Amino acid sequence: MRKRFNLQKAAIVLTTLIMVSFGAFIINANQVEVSKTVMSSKIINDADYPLNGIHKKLDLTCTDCHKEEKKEDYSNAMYGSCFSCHGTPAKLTESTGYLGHTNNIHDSPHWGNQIACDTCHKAHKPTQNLCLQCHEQNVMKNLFVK
Amino acid sequence: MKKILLIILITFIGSVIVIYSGEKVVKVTGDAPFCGSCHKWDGLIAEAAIADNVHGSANPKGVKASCTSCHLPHDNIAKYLAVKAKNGIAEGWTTLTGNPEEKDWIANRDNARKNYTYDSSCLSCHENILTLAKDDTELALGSSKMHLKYEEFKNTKDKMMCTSCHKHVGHKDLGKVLFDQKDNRPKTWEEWDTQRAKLSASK
Repeated sequence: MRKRFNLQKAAIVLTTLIMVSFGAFIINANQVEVSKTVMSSKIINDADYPLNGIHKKLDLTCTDCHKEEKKEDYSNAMYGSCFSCHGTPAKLTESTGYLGHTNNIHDSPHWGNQIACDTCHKAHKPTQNLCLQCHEQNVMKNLFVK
Repeated sequence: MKKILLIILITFIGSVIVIYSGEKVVKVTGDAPFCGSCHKWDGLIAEAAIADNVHGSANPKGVKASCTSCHLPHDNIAKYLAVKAKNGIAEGWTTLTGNPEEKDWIANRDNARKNYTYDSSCLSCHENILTLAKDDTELALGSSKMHLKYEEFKNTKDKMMCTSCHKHVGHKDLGKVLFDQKDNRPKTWEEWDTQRAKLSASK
């Protein structure tokens, strides 16, 4: 009798635990959903993403570069929009040909298939010379990134 | 009366000769080999122009711009001739007194774009490009948007030249050509061997 009572008690405890876990899962899932909603309803203020230099002078709009449908989905993936003004990879290779074979950044083995334009050229943040993360030649240090 | 007719005839014939020969002289002195007689010292630049497959002789369709098609203004004949005379004298003087070895040809490209290319010359061939930019059907193109900006900035402090954006037009691989001209590092194993042999011989 005592053993049967213990079994009933254990079943109640187990069921309660399962229910509590399930409830916690539901609440947690809802919270994730809520936070997603908050993310997607984030207000994108154009003023927070200023342009500089020639892009500013030419009065480029967000959609000239960003090709995602929704503003809140804008990312650093340019989907080739840089080339709508800047020609082709081959043209860029030609344009920086004056740096010579060794330092022609657009003739790099990484360029075109491993790294995207915005890896170095930033529109809303300071640009960076990514070469220096691995290459230590002085001449690389002098490369100027627009 | 007879005298007046004679004067008119002589003036007419003289004018025809001056206009015909003048046109010939302007044409002959507007392209190679005449330009090359002073620009021999920057010969690689001329070679890069010939190699250009859009504006140069390498154009597969056979359309070719002469040196003066791009490097003289085409607003009006008076300005064209005045700049031609001024540049002719200046280039002659530079060639006689200057030293091509000392010139920074790579940096000089900015000076050449700014002072020796002319929007009027680009627009004399690409004459409908600004009209097309205003055409509704063309407006979707990024280039049309930029060409409208060119119009907007015209005659303001922000004004831009055609070559402000189209920087590398006209001379194929010019930057590379100018770099390689002064770069004497070996490009092949044969060159490497030759240079090593010379170095060993000089020691």
